[in-house]
Amino acid sequence: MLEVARLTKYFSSGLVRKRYLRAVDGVSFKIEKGRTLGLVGESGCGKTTIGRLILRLTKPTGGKVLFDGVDLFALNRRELLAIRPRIQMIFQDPDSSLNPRMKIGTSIAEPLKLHGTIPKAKREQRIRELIETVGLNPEHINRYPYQLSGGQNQRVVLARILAMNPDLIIADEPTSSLDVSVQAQILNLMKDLQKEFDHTYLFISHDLDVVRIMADRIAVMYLGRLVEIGETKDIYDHAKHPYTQALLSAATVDGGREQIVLEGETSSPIDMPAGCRFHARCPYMKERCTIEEPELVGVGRGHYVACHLA
Amino acid sequence: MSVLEISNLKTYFPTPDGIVRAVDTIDLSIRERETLGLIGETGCGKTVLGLTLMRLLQPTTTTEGTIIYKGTNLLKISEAEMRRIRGKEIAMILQNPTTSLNPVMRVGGQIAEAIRLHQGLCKRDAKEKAVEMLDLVRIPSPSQRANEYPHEFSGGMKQRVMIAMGLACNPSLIIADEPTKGLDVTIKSQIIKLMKEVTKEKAMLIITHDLGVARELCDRIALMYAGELVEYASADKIFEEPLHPYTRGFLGSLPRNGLVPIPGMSPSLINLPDGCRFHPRCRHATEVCRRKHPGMIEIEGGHFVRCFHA
Repeated sequence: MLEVARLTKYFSSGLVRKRYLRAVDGVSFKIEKGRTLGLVGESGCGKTTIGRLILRLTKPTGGKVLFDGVDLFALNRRELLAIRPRIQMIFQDPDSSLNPRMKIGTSIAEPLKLHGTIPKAKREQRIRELIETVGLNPEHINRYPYQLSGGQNQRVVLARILAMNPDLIIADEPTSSLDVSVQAQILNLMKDLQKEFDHTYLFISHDLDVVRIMADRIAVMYLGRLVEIGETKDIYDHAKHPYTQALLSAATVDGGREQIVLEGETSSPIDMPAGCRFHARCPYMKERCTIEEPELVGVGRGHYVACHLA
Repeated sequence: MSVLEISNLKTYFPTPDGIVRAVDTIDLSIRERETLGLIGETGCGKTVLGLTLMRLLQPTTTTEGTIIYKGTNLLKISEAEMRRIRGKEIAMILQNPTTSLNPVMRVGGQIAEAIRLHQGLCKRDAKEKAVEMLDLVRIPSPSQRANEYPHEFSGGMKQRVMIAMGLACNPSLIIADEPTKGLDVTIKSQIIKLMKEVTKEKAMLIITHDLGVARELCDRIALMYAGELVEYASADKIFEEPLHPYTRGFLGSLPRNGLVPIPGMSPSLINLPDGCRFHPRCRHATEVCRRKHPGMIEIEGGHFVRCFHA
C-alpha cells in the first residue's frame, strides 16, 4: 500500500557556510493494506517530518514514496490533488485543526464540497451518517468547536476525514492532548473504523503503550534514522536496540521491567556524531560504535536492527 | 506529624455563567518526608488546589476552610507574611518551565534572586549558591551554565532549573504541578530519578494526571474528580486494590490495562450532577447514587472512598 524508500529531508541554514539539519536521513519502510505501522520516537527525531513528506506538505531532499504503486514525488499539482483525498492526516491538537468560526456540520461538509463527490442534495444526509459513525449526536452538527470537548472535536476531525473515504490515514499523535479516559475512547474508535473501512494507518506517537495497542508493526526512530523495526510483539518481547529497550523500560507503569535511565540528551541533528548516532547515550557503547554507522540488519521474521552489538 | 493539614477547603470562582466549584470541600494532609500524589484529569480542579495552597489566585476567588501549615492557617495571615512562606517554606515547581522562566534573565540570576530575598545573602554568595543548586540537579558545567539564558537550555534542562529553584531555599514542602509534562520519555525518567534523589527528605505534593509518574514517586495517592476527592490511600492500594469505580475506570482506560474507556466525560464544574458526581458515568450506579451525595468512608486503615457501593 505504502512504500517509503530512502526518504531523506535536510533543512539548510546559513547562507555562506551552509549547515544541514538532517531531519530524516534515509528512512525506508512498507505498510500493507489494512495494517498499522507505529512510528515511535522522541521530539525532534523526524517522525512528524516523515508524515508531512508523505503528504507532500514539505519538499523531500531525496528518496521515494510509492502509494499504491504511484510515485507521489513524481506527480504534478493536478495529479496530486486527485490522489490527496485518499491520504488523510489527523493532527495532535483537534482544536486547532478545526475552524473555530465554522459549525461542525460546515467543517465536515467542506471536503465534500471541495471534491464534489456527493451531490448537494445528499450532502446533509451524508454528514448525519458520518457524525453517527464517529459516535456523536446529530445535534452537534450546529455547534461550534468551542462548545465541544477535546475528545469530541477529535471525533469531528475523524468524521471529516471519513468524508473523503481515504485509504491511508497518517495519525500524528492523535491522542496526546487528551485525558487517558478520553484517549481510550478515541483509540477504540480508530480501531473500529479501521476494521470497518479497511484503512491503512501510519500511527506516529511517542507513547509506546498506545502504539502497542494500535500497531501491527513498530518502527523506532532516533535522530532521523530507523534504529529498529519489526512486528509489535517482537519489539516488545525481544527489543534488540538499546534505545528501544530504554524507551520500553521508561514507559512501564507496573515496574515489571528494570528501569534503564539513559544519560544525556539527544544530540543536535545539525552536528551529528560520527558512527552510531546513539553512541553517546548508549550504555553498551564499544569503540566501533564511534567510527562506523550501523545499518539495519535482519534478525529474523521481518525484524531489523541498526546496532553493531545486536 | 503532618506538615500541611487541609480541611474543608473550598475554592469557588464567580463567572458570568455561574459559580465554578473548582475545589469543593477537600480534606487532605501531608506528613513529613511523604510524597502525596494528587491525580485527576483536565478540569478536575487539581491545579487550582495547588494554587490555593500557595494563595496565588485572584482576589475575586472565594476560598473557605483551613490550610494549616506548621500550626499557622495560611488563609488567615497577611499577604506580607504569606510572602515569607512562599518559596522559602513552601516552594512550587510549576508545569511548563519555558513560560515559568524569565527569558531575559540569566538562569543563575533567577535562582539567586530567591536566595537573596529569603536568606539575605549578598549577591556573590547567592550566585555561588545558585551554581551549587545547578550542580545538585546534575547540570553539567554549572558555573558556565548559570550565565546562560533559558533559551540556551533544552526542555529537560529547564525542568532541572525549575527543580533547582524550588529547592534553593530549602523548603519544608514542595508542590510540583505536572513536573514532567511535555518531556520526552527518556528525559522524563531522568527527571523522575532526579526528583526521587533530591527530595528524599522533603514533604511533597505532586499534582499530575500521569499514573506512571505517580507510581514512581508517591507514597500515598488522592484521586480527584469534579472538584472533590473520590479515593485516598497508599499508592500500592490504589494500584492494586482500587475501590472507587472512577479509579478503576481510570486505571482500566490505560492502554496497557486493556483500553476500556470511561463512557461520557467529566461534568462541568458549574453544573454538577445531583447525588454522586460520578453517577452519570458509573456502571454500578443505583437509585441512591442519583439522590444522595456520598461522603468519604474509611474502608480500612487509611483507605478512604467516596462511594456507596465500595
